[in-house]
Amino acid sequence: MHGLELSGVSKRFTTRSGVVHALDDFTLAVEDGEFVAVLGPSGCGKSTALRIAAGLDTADSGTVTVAGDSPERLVASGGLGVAFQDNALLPWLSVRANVELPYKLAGRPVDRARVDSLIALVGLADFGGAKPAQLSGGMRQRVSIARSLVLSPRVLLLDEPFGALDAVTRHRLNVELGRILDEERSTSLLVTHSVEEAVFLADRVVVMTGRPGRVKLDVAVPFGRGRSKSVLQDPAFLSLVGELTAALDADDSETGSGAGPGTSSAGTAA
Amino acid sequence: MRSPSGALSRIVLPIAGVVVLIAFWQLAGTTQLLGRSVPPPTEVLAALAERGDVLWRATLATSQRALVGGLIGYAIGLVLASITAWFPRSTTPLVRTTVLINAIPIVAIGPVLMTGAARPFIPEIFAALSVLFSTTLATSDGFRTVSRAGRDVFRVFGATRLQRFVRLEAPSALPMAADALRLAVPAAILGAILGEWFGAERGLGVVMVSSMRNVQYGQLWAAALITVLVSVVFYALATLLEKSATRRFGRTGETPSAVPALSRGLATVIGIAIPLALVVAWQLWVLLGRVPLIVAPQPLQVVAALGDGALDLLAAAGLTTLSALGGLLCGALVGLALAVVVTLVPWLASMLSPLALVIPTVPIVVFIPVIGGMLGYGMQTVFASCVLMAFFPLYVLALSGLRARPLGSDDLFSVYGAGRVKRLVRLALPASVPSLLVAIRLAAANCFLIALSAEWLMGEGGLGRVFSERRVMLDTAGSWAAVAVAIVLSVLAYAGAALLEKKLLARWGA
Repeated sequence: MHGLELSGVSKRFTTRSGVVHALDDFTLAVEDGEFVAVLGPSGCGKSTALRIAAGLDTADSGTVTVAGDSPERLVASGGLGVAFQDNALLPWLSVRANVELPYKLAGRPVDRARVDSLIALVGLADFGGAKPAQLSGGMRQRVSIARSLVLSPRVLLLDEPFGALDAVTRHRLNVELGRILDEERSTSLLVTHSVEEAVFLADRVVVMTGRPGRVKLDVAVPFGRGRSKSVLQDPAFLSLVGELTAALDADDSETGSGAGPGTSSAGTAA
Repeated sequence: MRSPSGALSRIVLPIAGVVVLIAFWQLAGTTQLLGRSVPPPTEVLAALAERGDVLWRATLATSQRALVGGLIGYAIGLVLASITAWFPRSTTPLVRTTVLINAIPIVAIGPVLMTGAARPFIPEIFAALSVLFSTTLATSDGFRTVSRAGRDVFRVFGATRLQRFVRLEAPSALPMAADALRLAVPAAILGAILGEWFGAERGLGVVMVSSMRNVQYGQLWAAALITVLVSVVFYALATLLEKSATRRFGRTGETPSAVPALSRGLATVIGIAIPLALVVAWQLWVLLGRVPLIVAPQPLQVVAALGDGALDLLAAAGLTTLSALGGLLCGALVGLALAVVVTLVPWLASMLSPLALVIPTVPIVVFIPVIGGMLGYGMQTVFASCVLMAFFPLYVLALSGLRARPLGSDDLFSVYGAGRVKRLVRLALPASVPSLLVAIRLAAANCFLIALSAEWLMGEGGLGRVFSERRVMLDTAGSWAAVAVAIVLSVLAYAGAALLEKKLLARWGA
């Protein structure tokens, strides 16, 4: 059974400047326990796909199955974890209370040992009582990751969790995230526009076309889990990064001539 | 629950809300459900037509006073703010002084001004003082939104200080100065009307008080309605001006840079020196100018009056504090409760949206004579006025606070399937805390103003009653002593609310 399946999903948004066709007949399957990264130019609808998988948006057409169920049913059972691009921590709660929040929202008893171990796992054991405003951006994202994992979700969705961070911090957190996810073994979907991040973390990388988003390329990553930093220098790693970057660039030049919105500058959210 | 769709929630429901309100008002008025003191709209319109000439002259008089006084106060505010731009070190003492002036309820200065040559200009002076604080504060903040990079560019190209002010700092501050102009509208009208209660021959404030005393409820409501309309019109004009200033000059989007701190020693010296200098100047004025006691007492005479009437003043202060703080608490709870209900019921929010739109434009003092008409002379009117005064800002700020949720947090709550109540308790209410604290600080400054004004107007209750009694007895020293107590009380309330805000915000995690 598939961990996560989006099949033939289309989505349009009506904005002030007209109708935006975000996704068109988008199909993506993530196996149980697999980690898939979705790459694409800014505005290609990759974040929309993730939001649909999370049940935050509904598809106009197509079917969505998450852990064999609809996203709504999975949400009701607390089986979904999401790490957001902007960390969405509640400023009035301490780090520990923020990580405990999913228990309270799902109406389950708090497992203090689990909370403590996750806070320790993301390297914030000394900061349990701190408020988010006292932490750096990277530390806040680590709290957000811990929170997304606390209910041991069957499916984990990561929406550019480190998108707002500088390259050095981002890289360090990627190493940590890989280690943490190896322990958790959830079915995971990562949306990003960093090719290195995708190849470093995922079992499989999917490249999307510009808007409306479709799958353009689907490549398995030839490394096992538990990757160390040394992978970054591996020729196979570098050539895969090169191949995926070329695929992304080709897409840019194709749609770039049409001067479509969102295909130009990278860095903005999809 | 999903919010109602576009046109329905933006146009149809708000209009329906207004229609329902007017229909209820008409029904209550004709059936005298709330007594004779709530006349139906038809009676108010009749009074408008019948007494049109009187009301028109009153409207002109009050508008003129509000305009003249307001513009003077606004101009002084701009000058003070410009001083803080040229001499950043002056920011702390200047801003602190205006905060202090703002914390003093203007009615408390009334008895002092009444005996002097300033008497005919009390409405203008009140209007100017009401406007001063927000103008200075907002514009001074505006000057500090200039980015370091902008300043560096001017420095690199060798601009003079004047060029930097004219071409960089003033345009950056303009949108916030325009904001201040908008805030100034209801403040200036409030000041003018309050001032008219200290003796003016005509004006909307005068009409309201005389209609209240002569039980002409149609005319009373008509005058109150005109006051609100004048305020709404000028507010709308100021909003247009603000929009065009923002479009023309753009907001820098920078948060104002921190105020340069004074050394603790210097701050203490200034804090002691300024009040001391004022008292000395007052003593010299009375002595050298041979000012008769009936115009102004000497500082020591006021101190003596404080000692003589200590018990009386203490009791009056207690009564005023009770009305002000009790009203603040009740009004705050009602405002928060209504905001919560409205947040949970989207169609109700749409229906009540005109209310939230109008509230910031209303000079709250117009309700005192209206409530006086409904509840009669006495403590109940003072208390009810304070409740209403606290309700308005609390409701508006709670409403926006309940919506000011951290980025992405609504999605987070959806991911864990949180229902409406959980969202309210764990997300919306805690998220609104900073807005609520701001509202309470603003209301704390205003509740003493309203309590004293109502007491003064009714001749009942605490310190406001003492003002009017001492004035009748020509006891200037006693009246100034009551003024001193009222000022200390209001400043303490404001300082307490500001301290509460700071402490709770720190705990809240800001």
